Amino acid sequence: MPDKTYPLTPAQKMHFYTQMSCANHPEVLNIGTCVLLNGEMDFDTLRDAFFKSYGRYEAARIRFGKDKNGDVFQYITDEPMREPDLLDFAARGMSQEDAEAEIKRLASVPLERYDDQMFRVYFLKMPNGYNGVFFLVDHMIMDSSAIIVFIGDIIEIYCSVLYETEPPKELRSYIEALEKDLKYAGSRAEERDAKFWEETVLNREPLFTDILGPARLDAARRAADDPDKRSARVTSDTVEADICTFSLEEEPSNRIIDYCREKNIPVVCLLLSALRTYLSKFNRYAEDISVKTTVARRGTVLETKSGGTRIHFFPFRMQFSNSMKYIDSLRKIQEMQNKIFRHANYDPIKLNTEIAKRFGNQPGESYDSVSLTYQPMSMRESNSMLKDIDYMAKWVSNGVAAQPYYLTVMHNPETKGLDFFWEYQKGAVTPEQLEYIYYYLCKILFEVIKDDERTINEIIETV
Amino acid sequence: MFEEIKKIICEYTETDPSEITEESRFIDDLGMNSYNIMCAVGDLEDEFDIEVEESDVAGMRTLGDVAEYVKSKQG
Repeated sequence: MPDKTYPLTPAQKMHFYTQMSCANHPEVLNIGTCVLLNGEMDFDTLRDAFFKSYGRYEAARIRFGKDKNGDVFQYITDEPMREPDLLDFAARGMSQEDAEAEIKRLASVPLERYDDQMFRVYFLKMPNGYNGVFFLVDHMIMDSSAIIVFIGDIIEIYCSVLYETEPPKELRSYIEALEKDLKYAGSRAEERDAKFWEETVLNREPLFTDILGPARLDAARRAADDPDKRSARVTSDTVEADICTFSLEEEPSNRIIDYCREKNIPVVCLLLSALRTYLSKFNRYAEDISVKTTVARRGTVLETKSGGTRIHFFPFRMQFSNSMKYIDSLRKIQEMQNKIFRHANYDPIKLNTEIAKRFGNQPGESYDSVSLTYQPMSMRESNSMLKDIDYMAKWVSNGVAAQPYYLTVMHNPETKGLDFFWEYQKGAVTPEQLEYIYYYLCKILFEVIKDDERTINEIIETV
Repeated sequence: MFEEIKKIICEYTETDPSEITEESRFIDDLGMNSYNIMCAVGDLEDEFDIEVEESDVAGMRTLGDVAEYVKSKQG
């Protein structure tokens, strides 16, 4: 038993339960990312950079254990990092396609959950001449922001040795951030947040809307013999998943960004409103629409630089009349987003449990079929060393997903446009259906930009 | 009051404290976003024992704006 242990945070528990609900697929918590540079790589220096960053980034040294009651805890290990494996696909004479398939296979190999290193590192020599790293990590120790900080730190250390540039600043303590996080339970802040969620979600039952239309809600109503039933479940025979990306070109992407800048509206609010408009159009013009939103909860420098997994998922409820002017609805969404930000430390598991209890939902039934995340910063934009280097970074699917459809909109540093990146359960939706939704979202976005003084109804009729 | 506000804001930005003035803009100069602005608002409420409406936040773009707002709230 380690000297100092800590309980899991709500964000970690959420992932832990996800993994339990996908019992045959523990790899559901794997996050794989490849960072590849065009040209030769000094793997000895890269290895040293990994070891140095590992030593100063507590989050990379998180491990999990189980006590005698079966409760899971976390601790920081003193054990050194394992040596990275070198995968020389070029020397093996493999095609680029086969090399990528092998990386995808490695992304689906589960990590040991207890008393073991929660990540693996592979150095890569690719057939197309790119060389770099495949980093596979468990979601319970890092989310995407934490990965970007870790990999960014390693690249900066690597460059500082090779090019004799300034070494990167120190990272921050995960334990310090964790201790602050754990103090929240039972605090006055928690009381305030509970009141907010009571008034926003719990006081009146939300309504399920689906990206594929009202069929799932209708089926749930028939099955329950209740024509007024408001919740439903997105069923899928399998949690097997895939990803697909639709890329919007630079010029139209800039129109979206410029519009948001001019109107002082966060891009994520415009995306949420487009999703709401789409869901309303295809769900009998519903006016009470919820989607799942993610809050990264990285406000202070300590939270930003200390790694770990901090994301909380919440229902984002957009409840207003479609006769409202579109620009006014955007302001309402922005106001709601600000409110959610202020109450985002609330335990999402507690909230979901209360929602299910309050409205008598069966396991898996909910109101929000689709999740939306907006990632404004790519690895390149968050790291000055990478600005002028020819490299590529991409997420690698682990092959399974706990949620039926999960949309992430992110900046693509190569195309300078916006990527609409879907991770989806193969049994829940097809790539063709997602492409159709993508085109609708774009149509809505550009109609809004053209004239946001029209009502939501008018925009719906136009598209 | 400005120094107390600055101390709070320094938790949210990597900008050198010596460069932070009353004219510093949260987004353009200090690299803050709507999430950390809202978190900082929570800290200001606790520090000055005031309540800030979400709709008032859009009008506060600099540290000076915040100082004025806090003064007006404290009457």
